[in-house]
Amino acid sequence: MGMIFVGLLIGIAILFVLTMVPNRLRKPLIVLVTFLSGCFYAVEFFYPTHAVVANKQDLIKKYGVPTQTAPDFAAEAQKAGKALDPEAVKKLQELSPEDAQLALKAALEVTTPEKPFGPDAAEKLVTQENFLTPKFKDVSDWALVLQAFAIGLGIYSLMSVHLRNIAMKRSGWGNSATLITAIFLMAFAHIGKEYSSKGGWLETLDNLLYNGLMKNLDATMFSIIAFYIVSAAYRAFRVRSVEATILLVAAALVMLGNVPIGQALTNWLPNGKTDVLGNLRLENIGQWILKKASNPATMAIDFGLAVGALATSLRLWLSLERGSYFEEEL
Amino acid sequence: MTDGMLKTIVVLLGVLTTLGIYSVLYKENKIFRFFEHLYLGLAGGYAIAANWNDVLKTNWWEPMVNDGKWWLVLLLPAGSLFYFIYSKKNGWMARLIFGLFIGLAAGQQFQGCAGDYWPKIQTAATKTLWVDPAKINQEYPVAAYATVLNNWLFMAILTAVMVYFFFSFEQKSTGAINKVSKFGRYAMMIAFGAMFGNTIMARMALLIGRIYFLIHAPEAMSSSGP
Amino acid sequence: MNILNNLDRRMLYLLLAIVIAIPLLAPAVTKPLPKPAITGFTQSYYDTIEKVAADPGAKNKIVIVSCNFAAGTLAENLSQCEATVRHLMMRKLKFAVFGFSDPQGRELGQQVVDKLAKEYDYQYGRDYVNWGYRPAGAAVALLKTAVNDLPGAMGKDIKGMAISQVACMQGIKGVNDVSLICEFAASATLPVWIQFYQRAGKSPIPTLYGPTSVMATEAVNYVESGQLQGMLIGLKGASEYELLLQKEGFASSASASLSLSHLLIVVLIVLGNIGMFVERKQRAAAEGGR
Repeated sequence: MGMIFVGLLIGIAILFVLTMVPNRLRKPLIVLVTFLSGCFYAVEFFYPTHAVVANKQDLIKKYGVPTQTAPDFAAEAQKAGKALDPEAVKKLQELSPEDAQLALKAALEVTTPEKPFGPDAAEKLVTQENFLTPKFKDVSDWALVLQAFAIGLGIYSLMSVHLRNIAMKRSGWGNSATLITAIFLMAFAHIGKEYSSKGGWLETLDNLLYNGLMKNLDATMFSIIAFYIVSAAYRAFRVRSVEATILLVAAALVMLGNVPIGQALTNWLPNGKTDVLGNLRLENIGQWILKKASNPATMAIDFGLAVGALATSLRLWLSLERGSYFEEEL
Repeated sequence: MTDGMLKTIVVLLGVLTTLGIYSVLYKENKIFRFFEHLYLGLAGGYAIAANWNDVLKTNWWEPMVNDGKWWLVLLLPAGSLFYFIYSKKNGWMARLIFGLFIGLAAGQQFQGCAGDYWPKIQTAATKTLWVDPAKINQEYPVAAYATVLNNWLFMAILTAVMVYFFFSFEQKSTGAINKVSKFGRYAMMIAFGAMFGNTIMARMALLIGRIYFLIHAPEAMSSSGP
Repeated sequence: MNILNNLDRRMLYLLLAIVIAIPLLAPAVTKPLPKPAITGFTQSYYDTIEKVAADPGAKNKIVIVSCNFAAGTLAENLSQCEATVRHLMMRKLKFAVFGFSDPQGRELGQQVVDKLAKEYDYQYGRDYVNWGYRPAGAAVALLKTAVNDLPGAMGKDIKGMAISQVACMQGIKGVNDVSLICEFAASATLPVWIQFYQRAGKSPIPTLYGPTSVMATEAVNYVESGQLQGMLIGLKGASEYELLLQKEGFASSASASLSLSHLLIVVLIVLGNIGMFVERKQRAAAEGGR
């Protein structure tokens, strides 16, 4: 506990130091952080990898820390009275001496007279890495925790608006009070049930709040769009241009092809695998539109997006992006 | 409270909330507003709880307090950087943590693009554009010709839509490019039509789910078990 | 024609509700409708699970059931998820429930498993595990770690147990021990699997997709390029899948309502357009007469 407190103090001290960073150094600092963090995955992706033994930490736990000398595969195999396939051994010899020792031990353990050690088995013992790959776990653990801390951002905005409503007794402040109460109650019940006994009152409360209220509210809220789409389809979906006509015809064919009632309309057409007319059944037309006509168009849009995304990523990574957020004086 | 009773209350609450939300279809009213706020609040509380239960408790608090990984406490001030966005004086500090995540995401993009688009490019580039007489199925010879025709259409649409995008900034496009890009626009309309058709299905499905729930609520209340 | 143009929107709402409710209240009315036609997307989805189940190597591997949806898209995603979990259980495949888009996903996925576990004698830990929820912002970092160290990356399950200690996770080290990815999504979460996990191992992991139908059109090119082995297009996909499994559930009961509501929309679009043409003609006639 003591060290945690010390750590917290160090963290707060760093924050305090950051508040004193002069204005002219702020932007360069942000640029540096962005660039370095971008380097991590970019360099890991482009930097050449080499073969290492898979699950090294597990193997060290099992067989102890290996020495720096390269093992003699043939001698060790002979000593253990087991036969190793030369091709497989060749694969393991590509490893560093340390890794090769661990791999050899693992190989000898899995080899039995019924299950000889072949290239496939060797493949399982080897993986490709570069110097950054082992750092993945730390980065992912930290990223998860930091992202979880960020959840409060939205909640803070929501709460500040509604707390202000309550404080100033604006119209509908009762609803604001409901919202705030709901946040606390749901959080309390859902966290609390983790710490209470199974079947306790907190679990019941969580069940009522989630399964009784939230799940149904969420499902209903989204379903309401169906009503609006009917109204919109009736009022706004008009054949005013060639484009609108194409869109409408494609939509109608896909819609009818999607449902049994549409299929019933063309049920009289033959449906054998070698019936040319079968292609005119509505369900087949719908599928044809999806696979052959709309698919290349969405693929082309995707390609366009990919180029855009890559360019934007580069600009963000190198802090070249323009716009009010990026150009604001700090 | 017995399990049966609890189940009945859960279903009743479900019916109540569903009807409460749908009341807005008749006209704007206070019941709808109440349920709307209740929903937002519950969703917010649930998100906080899930982040604590599944992430912060297991990946941060427990390793820090129980396993002696005291240095994890440094993530708290680091995470608090997000909240400097609300500070007038030190708002810039929030950009450090945003920059960190922007950088990570940008660095991942190279692998992302390669993983996502390389197989697609390969597919597009290896389409069969000529009928191979050896591969014609004698029982249904149309199939081979139809595939090749479809592949030509595929390539034509792919090219046209890309032309539409890449030359969209060009003011003085030549006639040919204009025609190709017009074809691209029509092809996109087919795609948007298909999207619209499927969107209708999605929306209807959600509504059917709710009406199904309302109709089957009485049996749901009386049925036993989870 | 004025009636058509001035129709109260509430009448339309009521009409839609009635059209949907009729087949649910009186299924006999829609009996003459054919069963949904099985599309290639659904058939290959079904075949992929069958293929994985038939592979003896898959016995020691795990299937990832990625529940990236919330209650908002329950009708579509839950039906797909339920049918898939049922299929996995029928074929005795070990699986892990997981979600990184919405925290509700891991709970809704668990509810699906709880509903079916008794029928197929599935036990938590022995036959399946729930890895829980992880924030979307760190999902890529997490999956990249999970390539070489799956239990380490995931950490603890929803019960607070180290994932490496869970019985069904024994021998599961990384990406090469995953036999199948099933992604049920209400937002663009599929690319994370495709870009960073599917092809990170020695051979690509078969990947199946259950999107809401809104997202299905854009995902077709993943199927065509072989990045997806199958896809269930929304509720319709789920109903076809239930038909293949011969276990009819909500999606099958909803099929007739889906039909009638679609027909209603098409009829309304046609009526709307007729209204427009008639109005145009009347206006032209009035202007011509002046």
